[in-house]
Amino acid sequence: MPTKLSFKTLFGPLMALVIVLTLLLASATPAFAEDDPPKPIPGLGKVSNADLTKMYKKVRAWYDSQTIVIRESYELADQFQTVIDFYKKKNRDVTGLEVALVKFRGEITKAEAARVYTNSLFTRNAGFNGFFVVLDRQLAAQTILEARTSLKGTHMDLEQAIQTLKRDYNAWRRWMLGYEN
Amino acid sequence: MRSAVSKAPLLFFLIVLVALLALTACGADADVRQAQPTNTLPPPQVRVGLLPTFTPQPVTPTPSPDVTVTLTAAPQVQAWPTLDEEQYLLTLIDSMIEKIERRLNNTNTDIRP
Repeated sequence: MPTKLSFKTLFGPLMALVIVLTLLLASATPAFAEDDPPKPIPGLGKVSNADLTKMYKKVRAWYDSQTIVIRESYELADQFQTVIDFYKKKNRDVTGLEVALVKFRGEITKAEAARVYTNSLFTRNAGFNGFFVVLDRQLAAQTILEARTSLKGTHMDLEQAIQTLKRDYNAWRRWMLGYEN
Repeated sequence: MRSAVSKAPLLFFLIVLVALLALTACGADADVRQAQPTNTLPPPQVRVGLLPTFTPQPVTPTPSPDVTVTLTAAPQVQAWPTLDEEQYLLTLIDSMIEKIERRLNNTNTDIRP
């Protein structure tokens, strides 16, 4: 005895089907997330591959910023030399400035060498492909850690170099103006 | 009865004939009407010899009234940085140091995601 199909008769089974599908998809979602679980890496803690990619990008941004600082430091050194030449023409004693500049140039040279080394790390790009995707977790972590160490050391050296230069420069200015002798 | 039937084609023929005559009359009337030219601007009647030309009039200089100008010391603006090279150089050093310090301080050294 065939029954006539209507919306009322189909509503129940359809709702049941929707509920079952919703439950299935909800239970499947954590399974996708488990593809990239955070795992411990010495020196970085528990990180996922996506975390490694983010860290790598941050280190690269830091490197770019540091490169600009080094370039500006070279420009500052050149400007310093201009000031020294200017006061030399006026027969002023610029020994203090010359000593400060020599020290500063030495620090910049050191920072530049560190920058070249950091750049080689990024050129090698161990553990990543060209699209920042992690290929080898251990190698990727090693790249990040080495780059961070180099950048951090150079960052502190540059900070110290600028502070020293500023202190020596201000001391020379005070001396030149006669406030100190 | 028979005569009425035979008159119908004749009546139809007459109607058609009148219609044709009317159409012919309209066509003949249309031929009579002449196309009126639209009003256009008259052609320019300008000859080269009659073009207006400018003849400069001799200018008679009018004597300007004597005005006693009192020179006042106006502030002179000189081009930067020749105003004071020494001050310029020192200020430039200060600004460059400050810029580098600011960049170093603003660098994000925290790489944690």
